Amino acid sequence: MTKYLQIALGVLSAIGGFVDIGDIVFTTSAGALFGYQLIWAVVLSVVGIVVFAEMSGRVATVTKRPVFSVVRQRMGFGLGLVTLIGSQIVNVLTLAAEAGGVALVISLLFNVSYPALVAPAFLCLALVIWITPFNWIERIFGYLGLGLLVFLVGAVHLHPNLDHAAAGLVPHLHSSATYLYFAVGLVAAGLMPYEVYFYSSGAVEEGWKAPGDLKLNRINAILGFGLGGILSLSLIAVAAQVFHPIGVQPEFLGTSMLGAQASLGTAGLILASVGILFAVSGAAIDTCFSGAYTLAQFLGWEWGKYRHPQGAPRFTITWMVLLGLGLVIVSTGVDPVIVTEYAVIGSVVALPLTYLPVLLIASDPTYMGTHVNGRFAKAVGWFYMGVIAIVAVAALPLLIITNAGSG
Amino acid sequence: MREDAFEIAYRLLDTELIDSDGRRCGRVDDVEIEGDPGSPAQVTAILSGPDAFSARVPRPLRRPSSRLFGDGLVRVPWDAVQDIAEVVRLKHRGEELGLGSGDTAAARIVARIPGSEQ
Repeated sequence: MTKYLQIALGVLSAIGGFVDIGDIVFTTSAGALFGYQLIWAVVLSVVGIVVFAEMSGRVATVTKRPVFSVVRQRMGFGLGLVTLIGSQIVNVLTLAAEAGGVALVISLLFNVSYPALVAPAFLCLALVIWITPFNWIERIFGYLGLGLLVFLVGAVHLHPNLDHAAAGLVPHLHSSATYLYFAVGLVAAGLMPYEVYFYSSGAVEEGWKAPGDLKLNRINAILGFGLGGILSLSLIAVAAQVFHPIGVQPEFLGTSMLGAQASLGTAGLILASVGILFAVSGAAIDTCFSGAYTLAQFLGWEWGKYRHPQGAPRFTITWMVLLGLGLVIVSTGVDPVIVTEYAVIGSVVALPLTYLPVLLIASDPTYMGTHVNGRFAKAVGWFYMGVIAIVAVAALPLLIITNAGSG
Repeated sequence: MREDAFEIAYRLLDTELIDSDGRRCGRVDDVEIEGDPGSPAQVTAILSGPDAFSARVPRPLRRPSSRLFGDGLVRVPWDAVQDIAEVVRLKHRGEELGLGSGDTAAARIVARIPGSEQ
């Protein structure tokens, strides 16, 4: 029975993956600019990530192989290498943005200058990863990230306009390029590949076994990422109620927090800050591990946080180097929010090459036996490959046309 | 179980190598096949290491690949293969076969950091 309460992996993957700094920035901006009109993009990305997280977790549980191992196996060395390089670049950018975001949130909370906090933030993250066992990382950052639920309370408290929200479930494809840019950004932010790299590797780290843990996998994927989706919708709703009517265009992470303050006062602001702090820290750890997981799995190195650092030394050195690279990027003084936007849009390059092999292996009875994709999972999977293809083609031109959404 | 016939590219190539201690110790980066034209070919060894995979990428990428990942090649004789399933299991420890030597070097660096053994 306790096994069914073990949803920490799903919650951390979702809170630290789905609702990361990229998602917070995109949802708040989308709500402020377009009210409820982009809700459909969030719903589309939530269902997509639930489908692929479940699939990648199932593959990891049945074959003991996480996503990047599958990428190399199914796509071969050449395409696998392209995916590896693409996803590593995006990973490091995301890691830099998330860790910079940690410093940013602390500086807003305690009114300290941001540049002075950058190095300490990275040091703290390194210490946490070094000292804390994997399951405690999941629990601390997953559950404290749930402070973000304050946005759900805030959204309800603000009496959202349900008619507008319902209308937002339908895409309006005739609208402006900026609208399309945010739609693509929301879908991409929800489907960022590091979420499944982390989730599937976590399933192997936790030693999930078929068939018993397949249910656990499904619950983790649906509840974890479902929760992430609800939080994203809440962020949109708060921004739509607070910022949209007065025409504020949020450009800072702090704006999202002010949304909670506007609806719930100081307590709301503090809870929102704590939630964002742990969600963003969790995302920094997710991306840091994801980078090390992917490299190790691609090359066949021993990997895993469950092995003590000396048991998987190349993996250990890799995450340290990645954290160091992140620090170098943030230390140049670049704005973490800008880095996030580029990371999200850049991630679409790695999207098809990550999700296609997952779909192929999950649909292959040679590997999956009786746990192979059914007709429904296959149909939804291929539908999302179509969505991913459209997003991948549209992202870069829209980024250039709209000047990263600023019109 | 070792099957007598299977699709090499589909089942063997790029698969993970697990040694007798259960440690991950590389991937099947290439396969050595012997046989004369007209007669049945036989897999004689698994090749693992940067030299093996760098030779598989498109020509312009070969040099960047070996620059990035270094060189080195380990030949695992086919006799050392225990079975092929979702991974390739080996009969011996990785060290005995010369696999996973990069971890030995990296372990020396990690060992210098306090708390690395808990």
